[in-house]
Amino acid sequence: MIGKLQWCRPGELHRLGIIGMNRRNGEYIARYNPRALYPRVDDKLATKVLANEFHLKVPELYGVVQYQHEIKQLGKTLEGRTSFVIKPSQGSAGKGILVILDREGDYFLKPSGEKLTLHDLQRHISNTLSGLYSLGGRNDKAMIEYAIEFSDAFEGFSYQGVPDIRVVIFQGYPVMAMMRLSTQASDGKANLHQGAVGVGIDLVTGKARSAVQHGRPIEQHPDTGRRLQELVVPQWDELILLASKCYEMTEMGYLGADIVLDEKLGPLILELNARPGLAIQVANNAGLLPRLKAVKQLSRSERILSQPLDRVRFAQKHFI
Amino acid sequence: MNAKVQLRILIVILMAVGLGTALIKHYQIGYPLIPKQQIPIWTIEAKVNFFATGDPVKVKFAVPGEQNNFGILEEAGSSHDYGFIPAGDLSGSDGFYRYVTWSISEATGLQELYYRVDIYQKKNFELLDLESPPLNPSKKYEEDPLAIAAEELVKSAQYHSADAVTYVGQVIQLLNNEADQNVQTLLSATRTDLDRTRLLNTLIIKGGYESHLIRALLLAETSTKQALQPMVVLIEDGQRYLFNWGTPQPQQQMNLLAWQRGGPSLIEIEGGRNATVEFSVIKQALPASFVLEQASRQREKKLMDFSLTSLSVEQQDSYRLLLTIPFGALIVVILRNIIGIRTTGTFMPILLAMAFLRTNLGPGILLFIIVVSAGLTVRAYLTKLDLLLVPRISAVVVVVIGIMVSFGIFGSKFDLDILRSVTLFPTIILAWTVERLSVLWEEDGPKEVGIQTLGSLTVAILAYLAMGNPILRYQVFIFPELILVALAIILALGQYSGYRLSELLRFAPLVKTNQEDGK
Ligand SMILES: Nc1ncnc2c1ncn2[C@@H]1O[C@H](COP(=O)(O)OP(=O)(O)O)[C@@H](O)[C@H]1O
Ligand SMILES: [Mg+2]
Repeated sequence: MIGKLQWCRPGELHRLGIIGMNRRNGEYIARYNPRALYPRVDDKLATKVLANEFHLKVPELYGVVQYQHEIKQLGKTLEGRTSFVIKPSQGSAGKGILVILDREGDYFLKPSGEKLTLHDLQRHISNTLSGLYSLGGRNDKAMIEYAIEFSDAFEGFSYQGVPDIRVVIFQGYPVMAMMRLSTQASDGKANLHQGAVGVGIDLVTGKARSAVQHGRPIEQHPDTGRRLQELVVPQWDELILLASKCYEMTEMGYLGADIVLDEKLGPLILELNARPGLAIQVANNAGLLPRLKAVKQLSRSERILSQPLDRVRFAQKHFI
Repeated sequence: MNAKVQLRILIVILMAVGLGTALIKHYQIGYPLIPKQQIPIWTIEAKVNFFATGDPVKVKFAVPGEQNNFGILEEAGSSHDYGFIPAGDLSGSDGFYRYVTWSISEATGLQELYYRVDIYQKKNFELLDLESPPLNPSKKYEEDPLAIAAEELVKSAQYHSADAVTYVGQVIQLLNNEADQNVQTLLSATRTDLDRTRLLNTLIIKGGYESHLIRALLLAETSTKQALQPMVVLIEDGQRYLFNWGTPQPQQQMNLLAWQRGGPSLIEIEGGRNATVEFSVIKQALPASFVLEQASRQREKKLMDFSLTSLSVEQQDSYRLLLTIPFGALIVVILRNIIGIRTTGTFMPILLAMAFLRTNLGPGILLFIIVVSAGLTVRAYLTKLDLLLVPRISAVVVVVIGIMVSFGIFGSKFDLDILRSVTLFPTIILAWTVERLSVLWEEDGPKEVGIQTLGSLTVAILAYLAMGNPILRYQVFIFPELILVALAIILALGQYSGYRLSELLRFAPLVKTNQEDGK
């Protein structure tokens, strides 16, 4: 079986500047992401509060439920809101995320059209608080936030789920970007190892560079058949600038920002990640190392004196 | 940079201390590095028979101490009803006066007492490189007519000899000539071999040389009803020569155990008479590791001896397991960071390996597969019932324990060894494994569960092979400082920032498309 597998030599990977797990963990995450700062990104509520302080755009927070007894007031919190999202503050992989797009009398409507009662929502929140959806089952908080209206620029590029854009930011410099498109195989989730499509995005134009599914190059979306080369992310400059600003906010040197495009509000930060994966290299058909090294070679003054916009310009000039 | 240098220095220090201590112990104390050789062991049983006269009985019986060519593993005295006082120190200054004591308030008729000692052969074949016991020549040869006879014999032997060995040879030859008047006089005062050997010893001392008496046991392959052989040890220039009554040449020293050295009698009995002592010897070969462990438990702790052999057998057992864990950890580091195998948790594979050590590999893997698939099936069902995470996983654990216990019961009912190996420890570990895998299923889905289960199992099997390896177990037990070496290697691997083997597979398509682009 091993004979059939495709292998490559370490030298080839090195030549392409591919970064491996060990180097990422040892030379980047361990060195540039201080442990004490992790709560800033691991807790979505903390991220949101911080982003508001730094005037970075995030989906508006409608309310937080922390204790079971607060659940009774849910009706009041939701008063006048027809669409919203309930999600665990420390969830992962889309678990426990409940999107409500409309109301019909006493009912709340999910995107699928399924009708939920207020009681259903309360039970969902109760489960969230007791940790049903959170890592290791620890107690959690439930956030109620603005439901993003996705830009229809991505019509036909995604199956069911909502595409998001992952930008890896090193010391504030955006070094690589990738769009994640859900597929039938990924069950509508934008999760690469479950079979979502990863599309490398050009840092200058926001256009697709190359695409992969299951770690192999593809040309078309497997479900919709749309040519992935045609994908262009609108409001790209604004999006990449927003990503770049996450550095000042988190002070984390090696960061992954998950950004979505709202029809009206433009790019919003959905989630930050202190351990961004390596698949972005496959999607871009390029290695991260040369880019990371280029940033490392900048002098301290150059880095500190540069504004987010300068960093974006630097990236757009060098990382093509 | 600084941190890197510090780490390198630390690694070198750990390596040096770990390997250095082990080598010192190897060369100074003589622990072999690899437990390949077998060491001969003799189990010697001394049976003491005597008639008790109905009074209180007290028996003092001389027993061997630690010697240059033989070491003592274990000793015990048995004989029901008698109180038993074991011998003292193995090596102390009373080494040649070691004795055990049996006592009882009243006894009549034939009595049987047993003393058993296990001794092992040391590397050294030279006999008795020990402090000499007092010379004590027999007093009776100080009086006439024995004194005169002895003196003449000594003079004649001195005249015909050049050194100690030739002197003793001459004395023995002269004594062999039973027609001689002096010899007849001297022998008239002796009844037993022991008496005659005492005579020989006295004549050697009178000749101005140093010698003493021993009672030796010949350690043949296996024999019964042996008796102790009285012999004379002649010491000249630090060299020792063994002489038998009647043989003018020094004797072979190999396989001779000096049961008792010096003058006092072998056995002293109060309240009994007609004592006889019989020895039986059984020879076995045991792995050196085992022997050495046992041996140093007996020995007094030496300063350099950091090994754990001085602990009780039970403690030794758990330390033996504990000490192999660092090497399990090393394997985990190699497989995760160098090979790139994904496992559930860092230490779960080690715990699994420990469970396998209890159940043995085959049954362990079988159990693992059965229990994990049963546990995950139950989990799937409980998920449908919409239970909260913690109660759900607790329920899974309860079910798993139920499964394991029923295995145990079936196992003992139908005599299935496989199932009987289920004990508390593996049960807990397997239950915990199922818990981890259930959580993983919740968080990352079935595919990831499959990958990580296989990964964990692979790592666990390799860790099992390492941790169960008899050579490694021996080495860490005798040289516990080797865990510093494991630590050093782990720290060194912690610096490895190269690609994992799995990444050569993962990123291969990238290399391929880049090559195509290049064309
Ligand atoms: N405010 C929102 N509006 C609409 N969809 C959302 C919203 N928040 C999350 N989602 C959906 O849930 C997915 C996962 O959300 P995210 O915040 O990244 O949580 P997780 O940590 O579980 O990945 C997103 O990709 C998106 O499809
Ligand atoms: Mg996400």
